[in-house]
Amino acid sequence: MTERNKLMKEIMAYSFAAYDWNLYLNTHPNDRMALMQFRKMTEKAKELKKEYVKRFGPIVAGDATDTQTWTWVSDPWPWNN
Amino acid sequence: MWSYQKRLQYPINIKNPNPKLASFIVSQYGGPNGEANAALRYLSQRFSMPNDITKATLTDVGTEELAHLEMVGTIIHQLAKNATTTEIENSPMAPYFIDHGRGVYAISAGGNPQKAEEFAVTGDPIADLVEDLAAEQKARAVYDNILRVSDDPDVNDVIKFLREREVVHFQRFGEALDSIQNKPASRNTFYMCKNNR
Repeated sequence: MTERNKLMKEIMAYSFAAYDWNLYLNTHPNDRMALMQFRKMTEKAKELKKEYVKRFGPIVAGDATDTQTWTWVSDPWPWNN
Repeated sequence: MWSYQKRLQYPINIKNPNPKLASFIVSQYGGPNGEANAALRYLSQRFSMPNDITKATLTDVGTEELAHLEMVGTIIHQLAKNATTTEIENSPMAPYFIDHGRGVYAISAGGNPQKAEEFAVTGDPIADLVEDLAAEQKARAVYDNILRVSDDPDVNDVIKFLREREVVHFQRFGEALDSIQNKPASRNTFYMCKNNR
């Protein structure tokens, strides 16, 4: 697995964990353990996304800050393998 | 509103072309219990939801279903793109191929294009949430059927993830339903509220 795919896989894992806590918290809004887990997973996903954007390119269009060229359009797109 | 993240919710990397399987799995793209109908159902139903829990749950699950639509589309694309015309001709994908090529189109395994009739909205929160509980079980049952006919581990890994999400959504919708059914004295008693008569 390439470095890029490995990092993306980690982003998927932490983002998914954060999202699943989000869904749980919607119906259990006062669960403090869940609130803490949500924060932890979100922070970690944010950190990894920052690293990915710096090394490999934008995840959201707003990440594309290259001053020479518009990198948002570049391959790979998610359905490519 | 929404913003797009250039990634899948769960990794998909299918190595072997399989047009037969593509023609089965397409049902979870545009079939009656597919992800497109699920996303549209939840994102439309939320406008008549009475409390925070139900509004948030339908918004988030509806959004996740859009990500699942993208995943199912990715599976079909990866199964079909390297299949030869002969392989497709000799598979159940042949009729689909005539109209849609190797593209991803919203249709059931039986050949019926996506129908808006199948994303139910009544404007009644209890009726809608009970519908959603059934919808999640039906989608889960379809994923079970797909697992019965698929022996590709690259595909099954993803299908198992999607199947599991149906189970989690069923649980959350049950809790959302509880939040309006079990609090008849709160302001969530929409069915006694004048505005909803």
